[in-house]
Amino acid sequence: MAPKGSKAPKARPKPPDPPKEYPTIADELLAAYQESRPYQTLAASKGIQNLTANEKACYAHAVFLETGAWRSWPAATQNEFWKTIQSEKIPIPLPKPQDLGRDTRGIEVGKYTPAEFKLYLRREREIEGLLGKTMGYLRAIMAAKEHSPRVLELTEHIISMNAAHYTVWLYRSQTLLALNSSIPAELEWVNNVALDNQKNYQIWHHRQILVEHLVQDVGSDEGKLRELGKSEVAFMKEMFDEDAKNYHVWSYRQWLVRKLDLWQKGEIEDCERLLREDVRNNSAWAHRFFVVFSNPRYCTEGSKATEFDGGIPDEILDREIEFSKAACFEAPQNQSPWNYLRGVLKKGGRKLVSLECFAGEFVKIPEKEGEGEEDVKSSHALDFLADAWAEKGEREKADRALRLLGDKYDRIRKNYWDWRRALLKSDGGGLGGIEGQFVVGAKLFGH
Amino acid sequence: MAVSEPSLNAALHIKYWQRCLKSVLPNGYTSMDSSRVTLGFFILSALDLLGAGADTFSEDKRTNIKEWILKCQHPNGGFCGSPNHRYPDASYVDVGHGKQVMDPANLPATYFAIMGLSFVGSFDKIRRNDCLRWLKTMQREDGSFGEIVTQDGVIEGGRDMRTCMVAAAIRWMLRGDEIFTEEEKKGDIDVDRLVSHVRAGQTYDGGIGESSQHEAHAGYTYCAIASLKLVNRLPESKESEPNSGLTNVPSTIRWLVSRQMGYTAEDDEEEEEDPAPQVKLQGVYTDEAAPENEQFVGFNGRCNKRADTCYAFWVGAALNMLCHEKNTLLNVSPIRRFLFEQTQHRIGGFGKCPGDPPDIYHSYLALAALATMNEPGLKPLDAALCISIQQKKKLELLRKAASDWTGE
Ligand SMILES: [Zn+2]
Repeated sequence: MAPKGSKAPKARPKPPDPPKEYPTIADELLAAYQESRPYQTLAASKGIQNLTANEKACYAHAVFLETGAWRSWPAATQNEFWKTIQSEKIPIPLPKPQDLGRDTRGIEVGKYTPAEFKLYLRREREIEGLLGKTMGYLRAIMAAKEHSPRVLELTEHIISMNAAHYTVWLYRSQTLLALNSSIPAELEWVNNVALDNQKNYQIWHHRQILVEHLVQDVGSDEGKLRELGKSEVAFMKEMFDEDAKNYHVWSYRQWLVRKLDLWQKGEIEDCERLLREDVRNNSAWAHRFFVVFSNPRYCTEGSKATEFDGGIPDEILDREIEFSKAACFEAPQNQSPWNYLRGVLKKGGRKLVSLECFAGEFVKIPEKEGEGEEDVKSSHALDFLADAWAEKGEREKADRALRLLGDKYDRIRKNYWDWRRALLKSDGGGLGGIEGQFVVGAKLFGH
Repeated sequence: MAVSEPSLNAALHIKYWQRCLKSVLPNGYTSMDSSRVTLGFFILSALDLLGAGADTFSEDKRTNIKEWILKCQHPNGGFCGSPNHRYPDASYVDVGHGKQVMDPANLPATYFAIMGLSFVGSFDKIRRNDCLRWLKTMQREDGSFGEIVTQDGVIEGGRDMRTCMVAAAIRWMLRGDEIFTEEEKKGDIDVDRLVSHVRAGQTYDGGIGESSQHEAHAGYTYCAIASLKLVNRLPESKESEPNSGLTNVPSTIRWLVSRQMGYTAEDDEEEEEDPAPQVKLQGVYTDEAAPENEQFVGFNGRCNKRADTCYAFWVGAALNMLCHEKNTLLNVSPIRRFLFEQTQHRIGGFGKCPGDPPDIYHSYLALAALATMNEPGLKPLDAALCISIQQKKKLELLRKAASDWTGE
């Protein structure tokens, strides 16, 4: 049913003039709408019966496009249809522009000049929106499933205005792959977008798709994979120079570690580099925990972050404990290494008491209350000791530590420390004891 | 030192939100960005918390908003982020199982749209069955939810706790938590898998992250706990429960209360010169003579980050759900002072950090945080749904009223 459309398009209506200024935005949208349907306009002015055969065919195609009727056709007919659309360069009709309504002062938005309209969009919106016109074009293209270089141009343009449009990114990556475009060139471009849009996460998903394909292309070429890993890590370093705690970048990095098997290729060293710059960078601590305690070489598959894992070698546990201890000495009031220590002990099935002496370095409490001043260098050490003592059954000591926290060393959390004291009285356990119960409960019921 | 207690200037905030209502909730076409529905929800709910909600609007205004939200509804179920995400209906050919050709419905937008409708109208125009069917197609094998499902049936979008929470809330709003018939159970999402996905997100330090291998984050922690609450699988804080959705509740509580930080204005100034965040310990390195700052207490979203208004909600509400003691773990006065005297803006609304201009997101979450702490002048809040308890009850009535929907 689709006409053969390979004749020279001599009867095609004149191409639209180069972009011109319109007095109002409504005029501009209307013009864009009309430009997108030249054959319908031609038919309306000449009358369908006066069209040439080729014009008639093009007109029919344009109408099929506009109504979406082609969607119900068999695949082969659809292919034929699209070939004609392309060879005849039939534009994809835009939806008819709607009334733009009135602004807050009651003025008709359609009467703004295009420039005023642009300003209006910026001003009136808390979040800068997309230009509807450009999105309109893209939608039409998406509806037609066109994957052409102009899609790349258009999506680049839209992304420069709003990088958070999910479907735009998805369509861009589909088009890139369909066109067999250069992925390294795309990565170059994406690097710049990412540096300009620190908070955007769609970029990182896009990057995953790109890298996934690069990895497929490279196959088992170890050298090339290593190079890829290196260049990705180098780019992340650039991102971390801007913000060393960027959640999306860290998230991508974990994905990359798994994808490229980077467990033992400089990840721990890189965390240490970042921690030397800022020992309070909790993101780097969290990444270290991931790299150490999810490494498939020795970790039990599926072991949760909060669970004991019998697979971790002692020397690794010792190494991690020593590393965190050093960081605690460097900045005793930094909670990150204290949390890390608790995590390591849990993974290794070791008791808090095993580090009682270490935590005691930061806390000197006279044996009897009222006999001299205590000396506390870290509230986290005191908290650690409270749990260690509760674990040993030394409730009195534990209670005193919790009281000191609430009354003196961590007063903003007084209610919490009081709650812990009440827990201690009611079941004799500190956090350590209670945690134990929960884990047992969870195991019993097979979760 | 006696510190005077600030109080809520409701009139000022109502004015702020009415201005937002005017400039954000639009007529027809001007709404082009995908977050419009989200902003709409914040505005309607803020006005409700302040007692100036949609029930005080003119009938015309309500109808207007309702129709605008309904324009975002996708023909195959769910909602898109804004009306002009919709191409003419003919473009939406269902290629089977709710998979959509273009501009697919989007999970967060669907949540905000249904919430929004609950403020201005009824649920009878929601294509409930389509929506629930579509919701089910958004769940992955591992229990997580994506944001959209493409025409090829690929579930796209992150697999973090935010979409879990949104999915659990949509399910709650449209089906409720009553016992389901066998037929309904078949069409339901897999709750056990959802719970085990959330469980798997707890990190070594007790919080919850994008995954357990990632850094704990207060936003994800809230979403995880709210998801569990909405499917009735939240454990009590004091005893272990077999079906609990968290592996270790006390350590989550410890992580949450650790998000509080004493705030002093110098912290910010220092931060400008030196990007390393400064955490001040109350009393440790200072002599007794040095003043402790307990006057203002803010919250950060991750360990060693700076305080930000919205985390007062994410953290406060998470604790509210975990502890039946109703926030007694937090000392409310310095938190109120931080919000009222540091991040509240002269023209109404709240900014992200002290000195920042107000924005809709932080303004809403500041009100919500205050409402969880039973601020006089605000309606009490339901922490899991992040709307007033009164609105939650209204939502239940709307759900019941529309229970004999044919669906579509
Ligand atoms: Zn915030």
